[in-house]
Amino acid sequence: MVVQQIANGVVLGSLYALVALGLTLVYGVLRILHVAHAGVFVLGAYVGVLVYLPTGSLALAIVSAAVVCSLAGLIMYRFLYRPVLGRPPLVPLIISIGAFMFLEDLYRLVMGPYIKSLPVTIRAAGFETAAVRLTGYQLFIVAAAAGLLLGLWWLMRGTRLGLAWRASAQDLETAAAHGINTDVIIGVCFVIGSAIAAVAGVMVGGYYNQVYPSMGSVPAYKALAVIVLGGMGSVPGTVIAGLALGLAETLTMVWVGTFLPRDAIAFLVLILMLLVKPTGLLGRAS
Amino acid sequence: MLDIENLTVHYGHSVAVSGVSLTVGEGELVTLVGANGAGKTTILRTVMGLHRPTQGSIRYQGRDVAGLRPWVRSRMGVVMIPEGRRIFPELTVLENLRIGAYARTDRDGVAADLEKAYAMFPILRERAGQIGRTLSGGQQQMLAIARALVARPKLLLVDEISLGLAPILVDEVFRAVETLHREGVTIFLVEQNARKALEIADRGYVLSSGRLVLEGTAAELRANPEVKKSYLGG
Ligand SMILES: Nc1ncnc2c1ncn2[C@@H]1O[C@H](COP(=O)(O)OP(=O)(O)OP(=O)(O)O)[C@@H](O)[C@H]1O
Ligand SMILES: [Mg+2]
Repeated sequence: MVVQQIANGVVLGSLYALVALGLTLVYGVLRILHVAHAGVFVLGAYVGVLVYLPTGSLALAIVSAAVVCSLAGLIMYRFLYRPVLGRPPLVPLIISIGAFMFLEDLYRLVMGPYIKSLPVTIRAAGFETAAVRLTGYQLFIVAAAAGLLLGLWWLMRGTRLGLAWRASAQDLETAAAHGINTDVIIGVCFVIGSAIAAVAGVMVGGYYNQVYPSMGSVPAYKALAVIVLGGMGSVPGTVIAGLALGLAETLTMVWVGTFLPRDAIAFLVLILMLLVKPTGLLGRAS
Repeated sequence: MLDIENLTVHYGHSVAVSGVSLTVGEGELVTLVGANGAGKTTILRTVMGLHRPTQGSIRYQGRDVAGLRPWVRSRMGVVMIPEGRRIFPELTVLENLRIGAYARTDRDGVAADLEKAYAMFPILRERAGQIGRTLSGGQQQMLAIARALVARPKLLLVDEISLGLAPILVDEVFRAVETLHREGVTIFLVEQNARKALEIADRGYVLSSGRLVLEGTAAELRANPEVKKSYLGG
């Protein structure tokens, strides 16, 4: 039971981490809370439905969702955030919340208010012992998340672009003054963050076999909890916090039972964290 | 090399720099001195493209740079050693230097300049793998100078390079600036430490509350009774 819940927690946590990464990347360079990012996640899920149902190809669904969402992310940066850069942080935050609500209604209008199913089947074999059972799809989620995170890690640590990205996240102005085109770096953050959210959107839609207009609401606030928990702007912190939240949610089912609503746990953990270490797991006071 | 004409800069509604005109000729070392809050940093940041002027023009190598983003100016040879050092705190010393040389494509030239920076500040070679924020204040200032050096500047903007340093380090960083000047880099040096600045400069300007109040050769300014009283401690 416990081992099974740990396994479930890792699957869930991987998804939280993937969704929250976009927030972390954007916050890292712009210090903006990109709440509408959860709207990008839902867009990814819908693109997944539109591509998967006729083609039956999960790979194609994921790639199309990533491409569409990258563009959507870039457009949001260009038209929502860039015009208000340098304004007090409340301004982009309110714009972002407004955009998120707009997107939810837009999906409702265009795709209808009802749940669409995304009946993904994959050929990968599951994994089963006496203590734990993971479906092939669960294994796929964890593997895909691990692959994406490793890729991102390599990009950040092993390439010139990654060096420029880290410098920009530490001091955007000084990076710009040293020949780094920070517009490109910011664009890259939106593209990568949105593409990863799109992948998560398709995977979540397939995991629960449902896609609906408001499926981004709960991930939106959990992602906020995850990035605060991880220490605003820290990529490894986000991954650890995502996994920790997934595990906390599944393990409380074991030890506390279901009388505690699962979705409240994110905020319980968050409040505890803020009391103990306000800068988050890997955050640094600046 | 740098021609500023009638420059006015605001922060919101308050004016920080007002009607400033000045020039820095090719190969010159020109200093801009003035008290706290006079507007010195604002002028440098506007030249770098980090702040937009409300009025006036800035020309570099004869070309109006209005509308050019900071990284474009940097690639044209305008390089800044910013106030407060602003090294990248979570990057290593070597990574900080690689950012300095980021836009350069001549690998051999970069390697040579890196050697030059290490020769100028040997401690940076020893600390090459160390994270920026763990350096002492003086070492951080050396890193900020070295980071500018490896960008191979044509026009170097220097902002309060001596602030908060022990006297022996003050001499060291000023020597570094002089060395770069001797090698032909044009330097625009902002300082509160007017005594030191006027020792190494060719010419100088005095800024007070956003306006230029005096200009002249360094020798003239050193001899000026007004300057002596207000900026050289009597
Ligand atoms: N970001 C800002 N927002 C609002 N006002 C500012 C800002 N930066 C500077 N100022 C104001 O503009 C004026 C000029 O400041 P500036 O930093 O250019 O002076 P400075 O000569 O560099 O001073 P110091 O010697 O202390 O560095 C000051 O009155 C300052 O209060
Ligand atoms: Mg200043």
